[in-house]
Amino acid sequence: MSPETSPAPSKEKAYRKLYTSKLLRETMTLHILSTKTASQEGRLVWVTSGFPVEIPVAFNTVAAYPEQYGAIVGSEKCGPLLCGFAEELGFSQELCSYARSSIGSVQQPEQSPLTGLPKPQALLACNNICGTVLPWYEAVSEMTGAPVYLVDTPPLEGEQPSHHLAYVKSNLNGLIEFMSQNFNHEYDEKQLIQVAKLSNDAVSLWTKALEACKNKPSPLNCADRFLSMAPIVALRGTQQAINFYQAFFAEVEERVKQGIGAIREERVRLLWDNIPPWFTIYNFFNTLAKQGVVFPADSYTHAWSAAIPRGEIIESIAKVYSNVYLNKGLSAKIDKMCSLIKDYDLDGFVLFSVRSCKRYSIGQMVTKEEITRRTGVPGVIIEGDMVDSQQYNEAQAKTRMEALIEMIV
Amino acid sequence: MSASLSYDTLVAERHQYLQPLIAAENPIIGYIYPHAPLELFFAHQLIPTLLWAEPKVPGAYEASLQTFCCSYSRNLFSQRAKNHLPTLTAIVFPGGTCDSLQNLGDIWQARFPEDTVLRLTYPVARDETALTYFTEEIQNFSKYIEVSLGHKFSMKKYNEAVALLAEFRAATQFITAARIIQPECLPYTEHTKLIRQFLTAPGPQALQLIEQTVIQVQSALRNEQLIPSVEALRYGILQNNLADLSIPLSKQGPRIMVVGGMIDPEGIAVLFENAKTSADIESAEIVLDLLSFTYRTVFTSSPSLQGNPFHELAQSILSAPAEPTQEGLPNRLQFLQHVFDQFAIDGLIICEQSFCDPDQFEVPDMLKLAGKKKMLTVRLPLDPEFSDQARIEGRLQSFLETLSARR
Ligand code: SF4
Ligand code: SF4
Repeated sequence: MSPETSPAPSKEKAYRKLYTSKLLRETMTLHILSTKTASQEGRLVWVTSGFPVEIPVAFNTVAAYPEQYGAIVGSEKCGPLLCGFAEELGFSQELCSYARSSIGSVQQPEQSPLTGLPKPQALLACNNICGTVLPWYEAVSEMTGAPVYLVDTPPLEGEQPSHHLAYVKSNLNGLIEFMSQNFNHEYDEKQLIQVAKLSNDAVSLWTKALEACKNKPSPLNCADRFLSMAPIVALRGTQQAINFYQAFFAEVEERVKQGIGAIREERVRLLWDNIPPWFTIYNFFNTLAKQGVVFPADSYTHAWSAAIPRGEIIESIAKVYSNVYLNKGLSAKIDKMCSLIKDYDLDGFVLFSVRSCKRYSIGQMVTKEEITRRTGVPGVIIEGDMVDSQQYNEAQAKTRMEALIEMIV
Repeated sequence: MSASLSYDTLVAERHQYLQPLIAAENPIIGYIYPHAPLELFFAHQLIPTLLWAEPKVPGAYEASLQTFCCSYSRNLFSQRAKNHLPTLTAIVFPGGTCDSLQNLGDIWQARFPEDTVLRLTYPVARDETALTYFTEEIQNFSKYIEVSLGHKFSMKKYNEAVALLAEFRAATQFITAARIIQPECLPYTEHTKLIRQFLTAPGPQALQLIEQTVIQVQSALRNEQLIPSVEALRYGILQNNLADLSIPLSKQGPRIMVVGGMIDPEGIAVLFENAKTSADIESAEIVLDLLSFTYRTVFTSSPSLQGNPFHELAQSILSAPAEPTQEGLPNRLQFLQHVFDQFAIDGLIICEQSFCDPDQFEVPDMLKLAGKKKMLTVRLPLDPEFSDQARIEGRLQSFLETLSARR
């Protein structure tokens, strides 16, 4: 974008801070404390981001999320250090940096933010997001002695066939057995239904906040959503998540009512695809905000917007967690992104090619062409990683973003 | 002997394997993941051919795949883009085995819409529920082949294929076990070539070559009365019961093992032979590899002719040993421990396909275990093009020299 077309300087910041960010910090700090206590009490589980967490929550365990911890590692800019510890153990630099930094933090907790995640009593993985999670958790299991349970959700094409659903259900029943045995706790279906209700309530508030970004100006930018999604990931199924999202949604509604946007002057509306580069998240989005670029939607935070449907509880959980779109192949992802572009009236899109994440990123070249063909809006691919800043070339990202903005304005 | 020359010869030979089948206009179905239901393809009157990576293909993936897609997938894509693949009636992609292949299947469909792309999705677990799931998956897959390709399932062809594949497995299991005991009985290069020929163009001709070799190996071992030991070892591997075996191993030269996944065993054989020549250590032998296309394929149990074909096929495929599975790591490590102990392995070559998660996640545990046993290891990052051939051979050479000095 040329200096002539830049908006006039103003005293007000180009982006607006959410006042609920204080509540977010408090909520997550309390959560971190509760994971420490839970670990001491022998009821801490580590879970993957797409795990049916309602089940371990119904067993009165507390869930910690290594991927979320990876985001903290990234934001604290210590990704290369922690990944390096894993590499010293023999893990290739080509593996997912969430996995590497997590393994690195288990190896060297004193040198890790928050001294690493507290020691788990079980490791719960669901491969609906990728195939990395199982060997990653197996590696952590070797190091910590905590047993691994995998909920296997083979990738789907189209509708879920009955034998697939039956298989995932049996995996969930296996999980219940695993939890009962390892945590000496009886399974209580009523409790699970109650947790699922709390989960749905939080998901509903979160989804409403996401959908509010269809408004112009958009009340939230990408970084707002990426930070505020922490409770929907980590506290789904608890009252704390609902408390936070009630306040959060109220603020979003208020912004919409008053016509206040996430950024001072909204000129270009873009879609973001993939995990963000955590180590430069503010810098990246706020620099663009100064040029009037906002991201009202992204493919990533929308992944937590599916509620558990009514019906027999295990079957409902099996359905919702099998059908996350990362588990449904490229065309489902392209469909989703095209509908986001249409529904949120977006001018273009940015595909962040995350070297760590093969499942999410391989296919983005086809995706780019196909989305432009279907929607007519231009897009760009920028390359990097979410944690390992050594894989990110800021100058290249800047040039590509400038080229995209030029195509639009 | 120049390394690249011998590898070139090998590559040129490989192109011949499939020629008779192509000339006879047999419908050919290509598959990538080695644990495919070959008997099912035959039952649908399709000849399965394993689509190997091709070392000499020029890169043609850049507009469709990022460089962090595994090098095997990139190579296959380039082969297709450059029309290096044989004419195929259909190509089968696996679901649920690794992220690179999972996504490659989708990209293939988008980029080559004229290809018939089929998908068979594998469970990760290895229990009864996984077996039930996979049985139905294979049955649906069979129905889909009927509908999409118009090739009906023939029980007669199925039975013939079960017999063919069972003979292939039995013969190659025997050779593998024989080589563990006495690697001099058959060069590793020959061993890997026979397997490759069969998997490229499975049929009576390729089987005959293997069976002739079995006869030769048997006669070499008979003099030393080693055949019962070979059979006991073969059975022990199949039963995953190595702990109690007493195996009379040949103590010649350093005994080396190769681990890794979808790595070209013949390529490894060439690299190894060249390194041996450079190091001037003729006695060193690869006594066993645990690679996908060799050990993991041949020690898969065969389906029984008695039960439901789909159930039997599912059971057979899920029995493939040493693949990362849910019950995985502790079992795999225990197996490795037995292998190291029982087969008197002196050195370990750890192969990692570039950007292959399944390979790369295994490495640290292998290193740890080998370290405990004070075993010498060398780690080889590879791509199917062996783009770094001179450096890899150099590493292998120093590995062999150190190993030999230790002995
Ligand atoms: S590979 Fe991708 S989906 Fe899997 S853990 Fe890493 S970042 Fe997450
Ligand atoms: S080499 Fe590895 S990543 Fe590539 S297709 Fe094979 S198993 Fe998958």
